[in-house]
Amino acid sequence: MRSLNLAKRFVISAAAASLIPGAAWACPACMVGDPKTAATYFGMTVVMSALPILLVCGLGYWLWRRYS
Amino acid sequence: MARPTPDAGNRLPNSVLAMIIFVVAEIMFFAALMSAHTIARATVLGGVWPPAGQPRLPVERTAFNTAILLLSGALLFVANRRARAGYEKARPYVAGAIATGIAFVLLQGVEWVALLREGLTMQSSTHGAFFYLIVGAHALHAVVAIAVLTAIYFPMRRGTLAPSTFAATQVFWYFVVLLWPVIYLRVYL
Repeated sequence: MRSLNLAKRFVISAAAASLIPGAAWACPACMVGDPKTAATYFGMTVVMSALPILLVCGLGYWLWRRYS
Repeated sequence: MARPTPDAGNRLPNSVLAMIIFVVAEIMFFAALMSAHTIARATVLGGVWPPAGQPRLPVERTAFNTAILLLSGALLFVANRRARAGYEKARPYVAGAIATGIAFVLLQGVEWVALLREGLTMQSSTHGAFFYLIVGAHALHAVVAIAVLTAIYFPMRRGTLAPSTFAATQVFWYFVVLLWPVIYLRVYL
């Protein structure tokens, strides 16, 4: 019962906190200044996010093809 | 009724799978270094790279060195093909791969000495710090891979080398070889 109350309090607090800022970037330095800089940050974010997924999926697909 | 068993001859050896997983982790390590380098390069003051007062990297000499390392990878590939007819036929190609790998590391060392004399150090600029970090990390991998290739050469000579060990070593060397052109394109050009 106590843990449920804690969970409720956490959800309500998180929802309230999310209403405070008008807008916020995950990285405050990424989207200001030179557009080339912003494009570089965006490109590297895409690469670093996609690469592990591609590597693991590629390895999984290769193993699946090898054994199926 | 007997259960079907996997084809033992077609099974991927544990050592090869472990090496592939290790290489995947290493790819992420180098991707992080090159990502940081790309951002540092894009955000440098004045947009001039290399920064003013810092020496240019030896693009032409390193292109030659890149060709040597690619030749090393090709030699190991041929060694793998020849190994199907016995290690005896593969050995000269493995020796060639080791020799060209050593030549690559030595030429890189000569290049480093020249750059240090020209004033490019870890502390001289972000350019120098990234150059020595990325190229140095690759050189460390190349040295370890050459040591492993040398270590497998002797059991290969005696005919006691396990094929799975040879295959796992190849995976690591191909990683070292194929990573270099990416580093060359991103750091040198």
